Amino acid sequence: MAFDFKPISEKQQADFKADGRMRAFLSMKGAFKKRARENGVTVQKLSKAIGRDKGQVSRILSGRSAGLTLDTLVLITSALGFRLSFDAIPVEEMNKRNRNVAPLWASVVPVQPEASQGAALYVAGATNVKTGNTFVAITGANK
Amino acid sequence: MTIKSTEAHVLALHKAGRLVHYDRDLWPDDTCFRRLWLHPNVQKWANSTGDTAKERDYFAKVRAFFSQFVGGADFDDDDMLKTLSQGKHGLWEFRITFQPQARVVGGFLRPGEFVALSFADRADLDAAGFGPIIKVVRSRWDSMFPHQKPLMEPRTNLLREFEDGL
Repeated sequence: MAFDFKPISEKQQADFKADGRMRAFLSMKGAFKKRARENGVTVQKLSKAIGRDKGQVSRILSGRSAGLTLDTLVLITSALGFRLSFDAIPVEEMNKRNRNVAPLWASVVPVQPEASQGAALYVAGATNVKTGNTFVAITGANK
Repeated sequence: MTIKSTEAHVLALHKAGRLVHYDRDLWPDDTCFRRLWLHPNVQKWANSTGDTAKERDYFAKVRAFFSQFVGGADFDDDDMLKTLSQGKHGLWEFRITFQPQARVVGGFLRPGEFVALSFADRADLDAAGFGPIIKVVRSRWDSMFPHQKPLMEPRTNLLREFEDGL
């Protein structure tokens, strides 16, 4: 059976990449926190082990390092005695989310004001909640 | 307020368009262990597309940050989530440490449920301090939750899984 490619917008592409990077970063950070908590590992010891500057390693672990590479993520995680896991899971084999604390009524999507002409209408039962276009008038005076 | 009335109140804010629920839906198996509510301005900012590849990447990172919070990732350290004013007002900052750094400020309504009410570039905070953003957030909180202060508990407790089995 042929795989059905779907176009991926630039925004989605960025989201997929950021999601992967964030997962990898948090895995690395989790490895460090575990070693620090349970084995007394410090940034200084880690930086010495991989031959990097302490400040640089500190920036990496706090997420302040621009352009963190996969090589560095793997290096640090490995130095901590963890193997970063990379599993390619087919989307069709993913279980539907088994935990979602979103309120049921969050699937109540307010109809956009211009569409409802001011009427307070709500559509219940949406399965894919998108809130990006919910609000039309947003003042930018205060962030 | 009781748990039930808090839920009803949040529903009213949602219906009125004063809070936006942040969901994660990149993959079918993405789970949500915590709740995140965004002020419309925060939602608009985080949901920006960006005009350049660099901006697109940046806002995607912000969304990934939110997504991991909702997904139950370990945020129990000052690099990710830090209290403001030594916890005096129950306000916390999400620390977006990617460049350019930003801060998203809000408070916990219930354990595992964060309400993000404002954001600022870190560089602006360097210049102006946190005073103005704290003032904005406190004002918005008081306006939205006049009978309920932000939850003041240790971070570990606040980061618990949201209990929705009402």
